[in-house]
Amino acid sequence: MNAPIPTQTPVTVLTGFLGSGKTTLLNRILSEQHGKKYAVIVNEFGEVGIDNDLIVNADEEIFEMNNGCICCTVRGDLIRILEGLMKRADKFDGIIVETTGLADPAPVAQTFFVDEDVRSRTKLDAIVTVVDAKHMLGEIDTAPEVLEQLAFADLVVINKTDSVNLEELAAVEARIRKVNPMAAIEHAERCDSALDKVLGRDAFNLKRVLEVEPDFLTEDHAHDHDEEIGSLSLVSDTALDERMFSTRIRQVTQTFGTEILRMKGIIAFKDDPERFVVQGVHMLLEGDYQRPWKADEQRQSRLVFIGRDLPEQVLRDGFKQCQA
Amino acid sequence: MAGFDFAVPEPTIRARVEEWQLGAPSTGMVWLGQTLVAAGGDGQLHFAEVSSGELVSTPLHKGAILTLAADPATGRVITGGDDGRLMAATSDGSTQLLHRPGRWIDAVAVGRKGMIAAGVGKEVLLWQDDELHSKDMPSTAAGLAFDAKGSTPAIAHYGGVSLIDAAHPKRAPRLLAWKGSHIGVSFSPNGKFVVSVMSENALHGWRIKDAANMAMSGYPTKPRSLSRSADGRLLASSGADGAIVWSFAGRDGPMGTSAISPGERGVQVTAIARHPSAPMLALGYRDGSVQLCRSEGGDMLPMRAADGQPIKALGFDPGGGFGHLDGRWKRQARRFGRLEHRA
Repeated sequence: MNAPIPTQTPVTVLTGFLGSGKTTLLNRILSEQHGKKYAVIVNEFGEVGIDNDLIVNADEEIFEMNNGCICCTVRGDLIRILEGLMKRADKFDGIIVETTGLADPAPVAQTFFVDEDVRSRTKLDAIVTVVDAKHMLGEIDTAPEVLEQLAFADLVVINKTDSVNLEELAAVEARIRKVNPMAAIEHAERCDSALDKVLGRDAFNLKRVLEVEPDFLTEDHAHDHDEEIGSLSLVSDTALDERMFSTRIRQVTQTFGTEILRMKGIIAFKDDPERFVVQGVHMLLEGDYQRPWKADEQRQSRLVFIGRDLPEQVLRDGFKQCQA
Repeated sequence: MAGFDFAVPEPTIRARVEEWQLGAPSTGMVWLGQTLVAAGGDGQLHFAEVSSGELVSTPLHKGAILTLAADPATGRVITGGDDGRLMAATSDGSTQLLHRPGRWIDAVAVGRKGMIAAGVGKEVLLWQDDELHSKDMPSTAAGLAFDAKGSTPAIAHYGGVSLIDAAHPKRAPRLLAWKGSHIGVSFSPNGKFVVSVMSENALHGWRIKDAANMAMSGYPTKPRSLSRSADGRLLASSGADGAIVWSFAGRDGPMGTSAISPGERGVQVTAIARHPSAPMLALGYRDGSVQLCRSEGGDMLPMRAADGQPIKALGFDPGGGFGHLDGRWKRQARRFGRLEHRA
């Protein structure tokens, strides 16, 4: 007999620098009449519920799994708090995890891949990064954390767009794209994005991983060697060999797991009627068949890496060797 | 079932099942003498009287009850909730607010000498005769337990387990170190060993005398439920297919020995309890079934059929009756009739 699969509560991770407007967004989630019930895990507040919602204090306690591998660091406090929230009789429509401005989003994301209990009850919905249109470019030069938060983002909210002109906004957007060609971008003044654009994106769902932004992988983005964090897109019109790809992608993520921050791809295997999708955070990989290729669809394999000093040639060569 | 020599035949055991509906998902269970006490995700505490079948439910917390511990000496149950309150309640419905730190209370424990310990974030609060002491841990106090004498509270946290001398609470705790996240802790009845539950599918043990380490790994999931034999020689744990039983009979504990796993049936054990006097185990499985299992030979007697709702907690009362809580979706507590084991 199979156990019924309980509904997984979606968890949105909210990152962003101090002053970016992250708190404004949080306050809107808590105060707006949206008829939904959220739990918010924050760092600075006390644990006081506002109306229907619950605010829980977290300590950003990070620990390394078994082997002490940096790629397998998780947030122990988050495991405990999520477990506690799941004990409540009243369920939440969603949970929001706010990280401090200086936090590395990786341990939060990895918690949802690694911990079985967390995986069974909750699911990572999206990593949302809020940036200040006026100050982002300056902050990137002084604080590498901004780049990491952009690199991990599924959605970047460019806030305070009213404080810059169109040219400056285009420069901000170009810079974000250079770091992360996969993320969706939202513009906002005083963090006034519609909440349904921020919450419930389902960006980590493998089945939807590439349908959210269908065009994100269409071109081979230029990889800038001066960038500390950048991206690399690989495209192949020749179908790939399944065994070769599965071996190579494991090797690559094992070897360069520290450098690779995020990875997503759609793969066309030789003689296979189904689309295969894959995503990863550092060394952690997840892959599955998504759906059959449509008759009018180009069977193209596309893979994007976002990372720090990515070994471009190794990744290109490895990808090429997978061609069947 | 052949070879299973219970005095009470199987159909009689089944006939004595009692069941209570709690109205909300359950979060934990303890025995207070012959009273089964279950905590609810809606903040209610339920006292089920085994003799009469009566259920007394008390609204105690505003959110979920996160943790509970029995205090048999005073007839109370101590609870901690996500409403930031530490409460005491008795089966007659009386309640008392013990403390209100305003933060989640993740763990409580009561020692035999009446000391109450509560984990509030990184802080551990200790009460003895209304005297309150506070100790700061290096990270959140995720698990608490007293030794059998009630003189040493142990605290599980990142990087190991801290032991506090209850007689001298101001002294610095003794740290038994082991890298990783420790979320639960338990002493052997003779006080020679302490075992922690880790976040990463393992138990870790220390011989208290010299802090010698015992790594007990290989579990497919977190071994959250632990139970010791009456003589303390065996430690049974959940987290795998069948019970994983470690021997603490020798002076080195399970070091150099392998665990045995009675009760294998291709389904993960989620809750476990050893009979207080007889050599048998009650096993609760992920599929909702409950089996009684003889320690030697591993013969099994089915107590409850699988229904897909994982068993969350399981416990024998001191006289050998037993109760369990099943999946958070089913919302009920049951109690099986008292079992006699033929010597």
